[in-house]
Amino acid sequence: MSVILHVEDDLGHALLTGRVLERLPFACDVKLVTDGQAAVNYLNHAHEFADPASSPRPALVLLDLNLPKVKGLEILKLIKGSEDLCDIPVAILTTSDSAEDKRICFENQADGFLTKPGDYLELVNALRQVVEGLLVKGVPSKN
Amino acid sequence: MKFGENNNQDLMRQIEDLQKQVNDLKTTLSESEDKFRRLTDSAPVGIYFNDAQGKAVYINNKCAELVGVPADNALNFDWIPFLHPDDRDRMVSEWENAFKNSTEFHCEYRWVHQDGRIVWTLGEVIPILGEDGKAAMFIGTLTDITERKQAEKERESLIVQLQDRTAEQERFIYTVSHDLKSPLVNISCFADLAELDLNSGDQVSAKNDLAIIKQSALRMRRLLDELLEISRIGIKKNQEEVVNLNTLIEEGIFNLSGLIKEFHTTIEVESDLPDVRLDKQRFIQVIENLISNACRYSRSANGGSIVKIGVVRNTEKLTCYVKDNGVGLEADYLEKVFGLFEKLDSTSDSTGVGLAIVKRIIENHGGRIWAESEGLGQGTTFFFTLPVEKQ
Repeated sequence: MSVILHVEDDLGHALLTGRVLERLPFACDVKLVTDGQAAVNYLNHAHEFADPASSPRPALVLLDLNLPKVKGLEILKLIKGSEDLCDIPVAILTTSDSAEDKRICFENQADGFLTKPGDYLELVNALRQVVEGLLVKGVPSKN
Repeated sequence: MKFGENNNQDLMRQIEDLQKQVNDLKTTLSESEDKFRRLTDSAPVGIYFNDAQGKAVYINNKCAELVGVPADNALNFDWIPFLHPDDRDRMVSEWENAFKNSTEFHCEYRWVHQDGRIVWTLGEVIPILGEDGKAAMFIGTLTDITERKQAEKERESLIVQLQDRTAEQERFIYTVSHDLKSPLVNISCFADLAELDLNSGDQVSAKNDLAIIKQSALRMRRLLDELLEISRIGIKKNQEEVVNLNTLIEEGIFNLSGLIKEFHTTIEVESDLPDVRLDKQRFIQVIENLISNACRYSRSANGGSIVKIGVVRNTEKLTCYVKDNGVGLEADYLEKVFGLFEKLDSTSDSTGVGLAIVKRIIENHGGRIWAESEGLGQGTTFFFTLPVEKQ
């Protein structure tokens, strides 16, 4: 089963994304962390995430940008700058629709960028496209 | 009349004429010199003559005043020590070049007067060439440009301030738009979900969806209230007044008595704190925010933290502190905590605006705020400086 590391501090957004991921045509194991430091710890198998059995390497990271403690962009840089982690696809999930944010994320090798829409069905479709594209087909999404 | 007598008389007349001409020339020269001195001494610029070796042979009063040497003894002074140390090498090199090539030059440099005052001058030097084509002397003028330099400095500082302000505004708008969108996404998406859940008869899920909508709307309201508050800080200024620090802190504690009781927090305030001049209402907000943080981030879920408030004596400025024995801060977050919407704990109901408000109020009072902590579990101390009211 594919493991998705979901980094999101807004619990409402986490629930929404969780509902979309539950309804994917294939099963996945979603690991939710709610701040940037926890994401860094997870990826580095540090502290409470030391056991690879309960904290396996993710096949995809869904990453918010505005996070407590460590910002999403820093986590993206950490992943893409690491020999061990750089092949994990990272999709940015954010409320930001700033072209500058998008540019910086792609410059730092983000594999997808999704501005969360205000419509649930739109969110379902966009998120499915990103997740399926990256997880199943390995195709970067420039949505 | 003898022949010789006539000749002598002619000669005497010629000598007398010559003496008269010499005297007339002396008078004209003296008058001319007098006019020249009057002219140069009343000139608004410094004027000086240097010989071919660079030694001053004449300087007017204004020049002595600008350089900072006594006017009656100016020719005996070496000017170099009066130049600003940072300008000396440049000036020496300009003069060396002028001596060598008999060329003119102009440049801006500073003089340091005995009272420490710095005078900026624009110096212009032209050579007077002798028959051999080399400089026989140099005529120099000094124009006082201190006011212009000060205006330039003020203008540059204003430009930097304006750029900082614009960048801060841009960051503010970006952050605000991002953080306000978050609850909106929840509200609209969960409204869609509630409809879907109701259509499928899943009332329990629909109820949960509505609860999230309500929570998000309340959060949005709090965000808007606090944003309004932070934007008002820069615009609306209350009257500054002299107040005793103990009185102010007591008022803040009184306003928070409910929260302090709920979190079982003990507050210890030093006695005999000094008087301060500040915007009282805003400063009470500072105290309230810092105490409220100390209550909420105490180590145990039931609170029970101890908060100490006082001043650090023997510092140039008055430095106040609010020290708690709560969860503490890791070094990486000591500065971040003051950022707008910066939350270190995703589970807390804080909006991340409180400490940004505190920072803005303190900075508006010309002070500085910072946090110190030995690390997680070691408590945190917030320090801030305040303008002290001299007794």
